[in-house]
Amino acid sequence: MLFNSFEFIFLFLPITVIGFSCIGKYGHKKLAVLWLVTASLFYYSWWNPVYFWLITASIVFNYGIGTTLSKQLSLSKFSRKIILASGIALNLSLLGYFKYANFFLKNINSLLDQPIVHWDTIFLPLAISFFTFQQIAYLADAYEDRVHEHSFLHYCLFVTFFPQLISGPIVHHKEMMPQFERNSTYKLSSENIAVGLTIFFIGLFKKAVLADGIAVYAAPVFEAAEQNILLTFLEAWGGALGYTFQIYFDFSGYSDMAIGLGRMFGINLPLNFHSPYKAKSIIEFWRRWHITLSRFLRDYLYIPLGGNRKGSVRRYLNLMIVMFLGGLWHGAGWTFIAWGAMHGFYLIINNSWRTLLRALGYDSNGSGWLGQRLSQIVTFTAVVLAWVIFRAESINGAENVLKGMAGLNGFVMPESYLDGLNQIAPIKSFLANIGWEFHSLKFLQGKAEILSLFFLLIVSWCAPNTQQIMHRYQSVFDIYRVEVKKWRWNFLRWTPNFAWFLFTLTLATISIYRMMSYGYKEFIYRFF
Amino acid sequence: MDIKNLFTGFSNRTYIVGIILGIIAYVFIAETFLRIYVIPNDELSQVAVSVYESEKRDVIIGDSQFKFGFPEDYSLFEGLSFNGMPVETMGIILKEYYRHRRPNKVIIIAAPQMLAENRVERGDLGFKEYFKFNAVKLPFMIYAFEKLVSRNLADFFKWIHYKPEQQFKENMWEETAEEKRTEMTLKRIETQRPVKNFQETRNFKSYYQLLTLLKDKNAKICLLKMPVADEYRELVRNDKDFLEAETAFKEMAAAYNVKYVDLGQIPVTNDASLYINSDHLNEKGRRLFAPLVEKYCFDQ
Repeated sequence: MLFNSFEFIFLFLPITVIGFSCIGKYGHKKLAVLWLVTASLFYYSWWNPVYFWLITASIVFNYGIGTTLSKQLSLSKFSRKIILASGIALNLSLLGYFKYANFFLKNINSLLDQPIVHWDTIFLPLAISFFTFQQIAYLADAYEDRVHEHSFLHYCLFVTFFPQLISGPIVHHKEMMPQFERNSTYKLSSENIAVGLTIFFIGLFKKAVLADGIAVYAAPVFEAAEQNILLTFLEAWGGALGYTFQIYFDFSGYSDMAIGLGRMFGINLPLNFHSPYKAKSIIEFWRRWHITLSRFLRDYLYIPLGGNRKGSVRRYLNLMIVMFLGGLWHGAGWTFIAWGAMHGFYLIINNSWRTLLRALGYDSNGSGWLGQRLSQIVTFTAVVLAWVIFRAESINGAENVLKGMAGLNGFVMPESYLDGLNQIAPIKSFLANIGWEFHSLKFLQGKAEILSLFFLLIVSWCAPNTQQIMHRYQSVFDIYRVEVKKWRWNFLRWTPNFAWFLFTLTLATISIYRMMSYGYKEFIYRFF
Repeated sequence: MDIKNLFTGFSNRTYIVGIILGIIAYVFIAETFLRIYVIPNDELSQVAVSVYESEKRDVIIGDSQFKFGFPEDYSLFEGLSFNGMPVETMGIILKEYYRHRRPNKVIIIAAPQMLAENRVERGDLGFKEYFKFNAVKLPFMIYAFEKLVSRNLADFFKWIHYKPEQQFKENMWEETAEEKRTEMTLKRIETQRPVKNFQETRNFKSYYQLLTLLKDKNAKICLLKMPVADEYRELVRNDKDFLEAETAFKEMAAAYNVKYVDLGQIPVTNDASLYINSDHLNEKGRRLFAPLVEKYCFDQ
């Protein structure tokens, strides 16, 4: 069941909210939690009931290890370390088996002439990367004696809470437990529902209309690249930008919907997405994109590896390791590894550049308006190039798109694109002189595609994000040094009035129309 | 109502109720539109309605040959046929149709064009995405949520101004010159020619899957080949590809112990006056052959 499906919006969600409200109204806190856990497990098992046993076993195992670690403080440090290490090892083995076994065996077999291992394809259980990381963080917190709430029911809800179960945000035990403890959580509030509904429908619009709408332009380009069809400059850029905005609005939409759903139940989830294409450096990009994953990798990998405390070379090595593993977390494939490595490389350049600026006496954070815009464009271009590798099904496919983007397969444009411009200046002859050809293109869908890409670029660069719109209502759990600056125009900040009612209803009906007419696609992050 | 102006004064409760009612109103309008403009005119939507609502246990399923082959008032069987139906799609429709019904008599098309390239290429026509709400038996269906029907909302204006396509002239085939008829039939045969190694295609294998499904549910099955005009019959009489397809259907019928009936072989006068083109019956043809189907298919 997807957030953007009819069965979720018109059946599962209303029933869950009404049930929760009825139980909470009479002060049955435990029963209300049980209701949410049951609903979440039902939601999870909808894809495949077999997964139910996997997640249940994982919860019981981790809860057992976690409570042992946090309650048996008298154990020697060595014993506690062994318990923690075995807990983490088992979680990672499970993840390794389901997510990476196919990949490694396929590669080993392809290196050898005679396949040494025959292996039936293992199907990846839903959300395993998310709930595994979440529980590893819990074990680490329990080891550090940061876990002080031991209710099993609350722990189950912490892992399974359906708004964040499938694709994050990756939440911390300490962020959720106090919210489950609060009495006010169990009393349905009209403010929470109004705020939650608005955020949910903003997210639904981003996913169903913007992300799914632009996907039709990106997919054929990447399919052609896999078949070694030569892509010209505009076609390749059209596909790359198409995917850049598809994944942006897909993940942003998902994150909004998750936050909106959480809010309906009185739970604030952590901010996970904060206008990443407005970033003016790759360092900033990673503070804005999938914030809770970055936080996890920083706290549980980068810092334990030594972070930036052991000199520049070690710091860069740590960055590379973290991004490499971050890439691998997204999927078992060379393209994901290459994408992670590319971002590791970007981060090294970015950090070196800052060090150099500081050494030369410049302020690495400050520059004029023009400088900031240039930084934003350079960052955005670097991100687009990396998305090409992320999206492609093979390194060869990625190479073909990148070649097209570099102009190695020629520059072609349909003549009709110049109709208006030619009246102002002899653009065509100029372009022809520098090597452009004029005929139709198979993988560029015309002016509609160009206008759509331009529109989405403007939205992602200039529009306020959902947290800025909902600023008055603190829609997210405030984490990780992300400032949700107020938007300069007051009317763009949500408040329950007629204009916002019309706006939200319009977003909702357009999204539902789109779902009825064109169906609904899975979220990209659901496969990670 | 506590509206003061556009930007002040709306309680959260009014806001929530307004949005929920707005969405319900929108779904209601979409549903009404689909029921008035789309369902009566779109043959695929009619298949969806049959799957969700029909009370019949007997079914006829095939492509346009079946669609044209039975009169509209042929009410004994539920007609689930549509133009260009591939076998995979046929399997999905039958599976969904009999999800909550017990099958009785099922007549399935078994003709060479079902194994042609255009059917193989079409795969399941995206039907795996449909009938999601058929997982449980619903007391009523909102077609705005059934993608097979609701996808027509994308062509809103087409359906608002919809005019049914001009029907074929009933005696068109009879009035066509003999030479022209042969020329048209030759073209038709080429588009309907079974692909080489059709036995290897998922399209053909789907026949076995759907027969297994129906047999498991104890259905009475008949594999039926519709009659074709004399020109067509003569031109494929010794055609290897067509003969191979026929043999495959006969073997299939034998393997499942079901009847294979070729209506073209039964002793009735077969002339051009029964057809609108080389392989589709007209009203006169329908009235002649349809009453014979049940007899040849199910009478011992």
